Amino acid sequence: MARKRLSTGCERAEKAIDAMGEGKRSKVVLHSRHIHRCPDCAVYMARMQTVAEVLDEMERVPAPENFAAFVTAGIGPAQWPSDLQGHGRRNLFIVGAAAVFAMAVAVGVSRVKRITGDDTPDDSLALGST
Amino acid sequence: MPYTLSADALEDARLVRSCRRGDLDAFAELVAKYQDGVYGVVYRMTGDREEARDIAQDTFVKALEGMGRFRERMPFRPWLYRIATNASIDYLRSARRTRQVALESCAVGEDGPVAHVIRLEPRASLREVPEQAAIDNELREVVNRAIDELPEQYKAVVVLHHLEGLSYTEVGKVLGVPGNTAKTWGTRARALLCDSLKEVV
Repeated sequence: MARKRLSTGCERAEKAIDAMGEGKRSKVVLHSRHIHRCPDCAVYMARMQTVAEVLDEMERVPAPENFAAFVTAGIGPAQWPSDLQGHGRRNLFIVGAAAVFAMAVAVGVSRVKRITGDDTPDDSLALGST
Repeated sequence: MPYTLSADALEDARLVRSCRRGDLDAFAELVAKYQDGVYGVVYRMTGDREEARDIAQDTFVKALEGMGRFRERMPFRPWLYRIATNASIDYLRSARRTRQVALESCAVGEDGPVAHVIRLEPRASLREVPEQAAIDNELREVVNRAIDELPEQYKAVVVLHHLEGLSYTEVGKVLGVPGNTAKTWGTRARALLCDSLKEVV
């Protein structure tokens, strides 16, 4: 990012500002001595502190009324998480596979019955049997 | 790196899990919880209420669509704010390009240069600044203008850290840079604001 030149008028103050930002304590100590001795830098640092306080005092901007409703109104099936959609597809696949398996079992059972000649219904399972 | 989630972040993770199961109420709860934060970030970045509303809405929609990619061991708020900040920066870049094209197309007409007829309206943030009891109107306007003029990343740090209360570590996560870099940007942003505000601070 292109840096804008600051108007401290003091190269060491700018290095101190960078050092503070980078959290390099040794550099901060090195430059802070200069800052405390230099009246211009001291004034500048005090203004920096004031700016921070002004920023901290600014109030948050609330969302407009009914914003939550505005958001949820724009939600359709396509907006749901992709993994949820994935679950849907996976569930569909499982149901389909189960149906094919059930059909295969039914076909297999009927063939076995035809081969063994056992096509008489089980009386014990017949409705209304006594 | 292992990340210890706060109770609040754990609650967010629970809501995200519910969203993944298709629970619309859980999503509405997340929207209600973060609507002011997301809207505030976008509005401060763009300076336009209408655009902010649309971009903030889009942020939540994108968040919902992307919840499958969200890692539950990470906090939800920086992830959500990252979507909002990136969308805001995209908007600012697009708006800047549009302004640039408009300026270039107006700059030379058939009768020669006509750039002098262009009137740039003040940014919306200067017209629609919300109430701030702590500082007077004039200072508020000047501060908003100064924030508006910051480079995008610096502006994002100021908005996220000072106005939304995110730590520099969180700001770094939002902007995709180390926390120390975010801190440096914050310090340099304040230094630039110091220059811009030298008449009043």
